Amino acid sequence: MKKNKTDLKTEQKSKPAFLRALSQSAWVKFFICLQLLLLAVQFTPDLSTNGDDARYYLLGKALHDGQGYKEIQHPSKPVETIYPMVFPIMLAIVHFISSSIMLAKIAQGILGALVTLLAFYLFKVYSKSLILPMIALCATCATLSQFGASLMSEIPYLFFSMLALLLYEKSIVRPKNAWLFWLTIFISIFPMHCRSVGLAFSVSWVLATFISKKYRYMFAHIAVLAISVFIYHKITSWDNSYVVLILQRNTYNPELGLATPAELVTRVFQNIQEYSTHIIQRSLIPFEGPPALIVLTSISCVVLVFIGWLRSMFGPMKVLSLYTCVYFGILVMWQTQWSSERFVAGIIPFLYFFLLSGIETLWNLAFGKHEKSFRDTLQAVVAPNQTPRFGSRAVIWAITIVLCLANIGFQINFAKTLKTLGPDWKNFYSCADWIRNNTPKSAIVMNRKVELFYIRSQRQGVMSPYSHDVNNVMKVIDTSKVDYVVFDNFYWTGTTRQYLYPAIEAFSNRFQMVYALNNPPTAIYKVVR
Amino acid sequence: MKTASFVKTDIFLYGTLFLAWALIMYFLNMNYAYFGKEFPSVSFEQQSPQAIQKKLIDAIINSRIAMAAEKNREKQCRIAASLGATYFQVFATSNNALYRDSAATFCLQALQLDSTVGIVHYLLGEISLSKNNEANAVSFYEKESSEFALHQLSKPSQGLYNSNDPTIRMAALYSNLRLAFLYSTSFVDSQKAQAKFNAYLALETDAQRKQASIQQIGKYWKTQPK
Repeated sequence: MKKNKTDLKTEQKSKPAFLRALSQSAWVKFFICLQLLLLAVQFTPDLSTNGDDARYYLLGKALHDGQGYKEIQHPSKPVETIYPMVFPIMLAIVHFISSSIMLAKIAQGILGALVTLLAFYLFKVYSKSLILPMIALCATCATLSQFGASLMSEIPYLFFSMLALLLYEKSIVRPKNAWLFWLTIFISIFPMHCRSVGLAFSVSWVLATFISKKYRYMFAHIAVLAISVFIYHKITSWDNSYVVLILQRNTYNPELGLATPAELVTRVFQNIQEYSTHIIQRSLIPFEGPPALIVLTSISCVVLVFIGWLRSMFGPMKVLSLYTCVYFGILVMWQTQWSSERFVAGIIPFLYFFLLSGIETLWNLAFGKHEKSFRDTLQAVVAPNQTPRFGSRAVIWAITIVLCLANIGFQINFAKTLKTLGPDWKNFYSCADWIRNNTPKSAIVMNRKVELFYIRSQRQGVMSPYSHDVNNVMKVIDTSKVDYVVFDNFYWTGTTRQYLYPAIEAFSNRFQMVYALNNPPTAIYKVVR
Repeated sequence: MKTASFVKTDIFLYGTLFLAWALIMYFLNMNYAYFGKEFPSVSFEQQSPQAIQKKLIDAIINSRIAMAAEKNREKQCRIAASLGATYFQVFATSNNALYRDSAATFCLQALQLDSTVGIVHYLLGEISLSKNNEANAVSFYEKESSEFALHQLSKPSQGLYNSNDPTIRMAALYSNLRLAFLYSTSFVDSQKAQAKFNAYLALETDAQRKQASIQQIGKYWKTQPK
């Protein structure tokens, strides 16, 4: 595999002058420093208003405090059945050092930078020519930064899936190393226990190892995964609620019932349209512009990613290619209101790689050396680790720089909005402050964001049921022994107005307003018994 | 071997880099006031007048029940004064004159029970002023101001009038300020105006409000107040 001197000289000459000045690892260090700088710009010691990060934080706290894998923010402290365990366990470890949210967020930021470093080690195995542009894109990616700056499971998921792939590549070239083999298998089940969509990772792992005839990797993965799922089921009485969520028409209006097969097919097409015309653009190259340009950019990205994906399927990246395919297969079945760049974040480095690979493939097909037959030309293009031509490399770098600048600009703008709360949230938190200062510790509060409200008010709470039946809402208030209800006026959701307010109006004698704010109207009602 | 040393170098280098980043982030944000910030987290002005009224009316109902059951004259006086203050607050937020009349009724009832009860004269002064009866307002404010000065000088804590009570102190502060303005505008008397403004300044602890008052009254005076 050693290259002769002539090859090396050709490769050096093909590099632009600014790339020749520094070694590859020095460039990686530069990009990681840049990523840390961008993460610092976006860093806030607060939790985001998402709610999921608060839930992860509380699960970590529950594990650390020895309360088990339970939702401590609820009065009955039920066992958590929806959120997988890996990320809360990581947060519980951070809790041993400090229960500060800031420390957990710092650790998450570092994990975000480690993802870029892992991408370098992993893709170095697959392609030497595209590695630096890909690392530059990962380091500056606005979507990855967004999740690196919040306590969400996307970054840990990406970290473990890439670590598993890297260990797999290392393990297959050292078949006699049993420790490495079992470590690979052990890490390979982490994605499944980090996010439910990690099912795609396990499915593609089994498929790819079967196709490559690496049967011991396949059987060991199935066995260890089965044991871990069994243990998880024993701990949490896991009922796989995600299956129900996929089948429901709308989780925020469960009275609509389950979707029919025809509706599921329609949903798949709607998702494909949404991802290919908007979400892929927002995930890979976020920018504001005319709608037509956004659609064009998004579709171009999808086409290039698809070409790169096809090329990888014929190369040494079968696990990765299959994984991306199965992953998207699950995404398009998801309820359309949840379709967002959040779900793309778990495979962004792979998409960037396919994108660059697609550009390189097209360039080589158009301007590369043509063999006698089209099949030979295609094989030459598909061959991994081939020495890239100057033209192809220059085009890839030019596109990379444009994409990096778009991502950096977006992150700087995003950082400005991230640090300011909207008036609806300010009022909501003010209600939490009022509850903390004016109610007994045992008070139970019905509100829309139970986790965030619990952290701020230090009072347990329940959510209003998504039901138009006011008697049903009152039944939950009475059976849960709710003492106060918060009437929020969130801009991003209308569920409180839709479900809780009719009950307050219908049973006005049961509610006594004790605290209220304007702009937007927000109030706390005491429940009269 | 080369790869192994590269990885080892990387572990040390990136370890140091990440640790440095973590420390910088920690020190940059260590003073961040997290949950448990000052209360309330939104200004009082943002609170809904309807909600304030609702709270006040609840307080009135409870006070009236308590007053009906109360036999002790001193306690009755306190409840009447408190009801007068609450009704006046409801009037201030609703502009409904009926509440102002109720406030006046309870304030006068409190005065009948004890003529020195704190803040009632100030409230009656405010009620008179809201009815554009400035002469009456001046007499009530004067009474509040002199009662406070009297108790502050000789007997700081006695019976229903406790000059250390922050509410009574605020009533005296505002009475003096109102008088300083009334003596500068409707009933011009520069000496009295100066004296009342000085009495106000002696009680004032809020620097921002003090500065605003000095600027405001300076518009009526030939020489700027100090």
